[in-house]
Amino acid sequence: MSDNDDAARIRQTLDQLTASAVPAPPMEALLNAERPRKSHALMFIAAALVVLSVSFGGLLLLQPGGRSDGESDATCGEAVAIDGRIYFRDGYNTDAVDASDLGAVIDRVDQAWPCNDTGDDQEVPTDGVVASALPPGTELRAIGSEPSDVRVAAVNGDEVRVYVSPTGDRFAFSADVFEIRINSGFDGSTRLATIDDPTLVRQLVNDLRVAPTAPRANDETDLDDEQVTVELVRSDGLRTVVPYWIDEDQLADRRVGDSWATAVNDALASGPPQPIADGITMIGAKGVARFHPNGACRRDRPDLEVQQGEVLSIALTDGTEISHLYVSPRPPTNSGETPPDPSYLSEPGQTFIAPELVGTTVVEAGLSQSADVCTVLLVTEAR
Amino acid sequence: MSERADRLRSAAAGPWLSFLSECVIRLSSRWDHEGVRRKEQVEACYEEHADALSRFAAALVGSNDAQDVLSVAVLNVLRTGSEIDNVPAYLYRSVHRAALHHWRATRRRGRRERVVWEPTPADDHTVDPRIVDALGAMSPRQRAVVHLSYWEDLTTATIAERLGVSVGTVKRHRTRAHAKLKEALANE
Repeated sequence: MSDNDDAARIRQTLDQLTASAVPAPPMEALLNAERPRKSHALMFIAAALVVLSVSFGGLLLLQPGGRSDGESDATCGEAVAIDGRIYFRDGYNTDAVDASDLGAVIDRVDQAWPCNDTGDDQEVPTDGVVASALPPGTELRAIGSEPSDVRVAAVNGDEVRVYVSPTGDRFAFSADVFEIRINSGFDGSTRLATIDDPTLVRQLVNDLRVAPTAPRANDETDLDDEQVTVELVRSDGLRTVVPYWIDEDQLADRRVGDSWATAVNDALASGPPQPIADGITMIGAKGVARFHPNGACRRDRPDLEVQQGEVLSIALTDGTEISHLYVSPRPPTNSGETPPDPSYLSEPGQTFIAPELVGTTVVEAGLSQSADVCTVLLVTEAR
Repeated sequence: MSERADRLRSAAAGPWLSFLSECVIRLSSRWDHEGVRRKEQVEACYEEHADALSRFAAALVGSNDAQDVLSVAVLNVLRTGSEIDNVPAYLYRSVHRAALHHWRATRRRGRRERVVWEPTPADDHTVDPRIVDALGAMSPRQRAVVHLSYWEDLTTATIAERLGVSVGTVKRHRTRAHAKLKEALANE
């Protein structure tokens, strides 16, 4: 069959599938469709409250490494407020700044910020320095020559914790960038590829700095969307580490253009093979799936093609035991609910049933002898 | 307006609430001044593109949910506080965003896709079940690109404008979608 025939079939099918949606209802009918009427002010208040609670509570809860040394409630993340400006703990950068990178002392924590996620403690104090997970007296210092309205470092003994303001410009630093590392979106640190051509690096950084600012909405993410972490290695010895959603053109809070997607995809395509983790393999009809250290799995490089529902054998080296298998994205059950993970491990340690969801699926395994490992299955329709 | 503003200001007990009330005052004020003009502008555009928008919504979430998504999208456009340069593109983008939200909010991808694509009449020979299955296995973005390129016959640049993404992103989604369609159509 020719391409034209295929195109005609696709068009006809789309026509039929969407035919019952026309004629579209008039706009007034849409606006009145079973929606309680509210005053505009109330709607704005509700929307603003949702945005504020999500941005505050969500960021607090989602910060990695958010648990303090037993001094605040576990449901809270880490935040510091300096005269009303809030900073959240930056999980990506905690290992990218050490004592030698620190600049001037800008302030000290005055008081603890009680944070139990249930009371009125979400109000940001406008005066003084409060912190949810740092003891009073903790030094807050600038990082290199960066403006302190973007990032600050809290120094507690030998430990340096980095805090980032959600409203600061992450790319306002004056140092040059000499390398761009493309890291795993899983942990932000496993290196997948590197861009080190000076001309290209300079062009990408320039493009980034002039890119429009556009905060990202979480509901824009598809399950298929690819996310990596971009690490800008700077001439001042510091690194700026930010998430990049390639399919959304979104690098941190900037909408970058095609130059970034092309460069990153090219770099990923020519990136080195991922390291292999020993101890476990899965065997299917089409071959053997090798595992990698968690973070090194790539959806664009599936380890094995399997069919929906195919039963795979799990082979473990002597002395290795599986504590769990985790499938991401988790396929739905017939009732639409997410099943518990063990349902994919039909006989623990023996076989694994390939998920029903067609596409690439990351399978993570917890092993007794090593850190968690992962493999990528390309699930195709059962014939 | 000023009385409402005073009431809100005096009710503000803390910095967050104060900030919140200022937002409400500003947004309400914008609404008062621009709301009528915006509604007329959107209404005229909707009348012109209603069927195409409705089909687009149906392609993304299925006919059953298309009206809900369309309704949310139109409301969102009416509520937007910023100036809209290209209303048709903005409406498409809003439908696309509402569909993504709908898709993620339910988190029942497999079941919804079955519901979306099952109502095909069995004896309708213009519907190719292989294409139906392939569409069902696509992400909403891939489906959007397929619909806009095959059904609406739009260029890559126009699709990028309608979805608010770059040309490269449209090409990437189209490549993935084409691969799925090609594989499906190769099966006799």
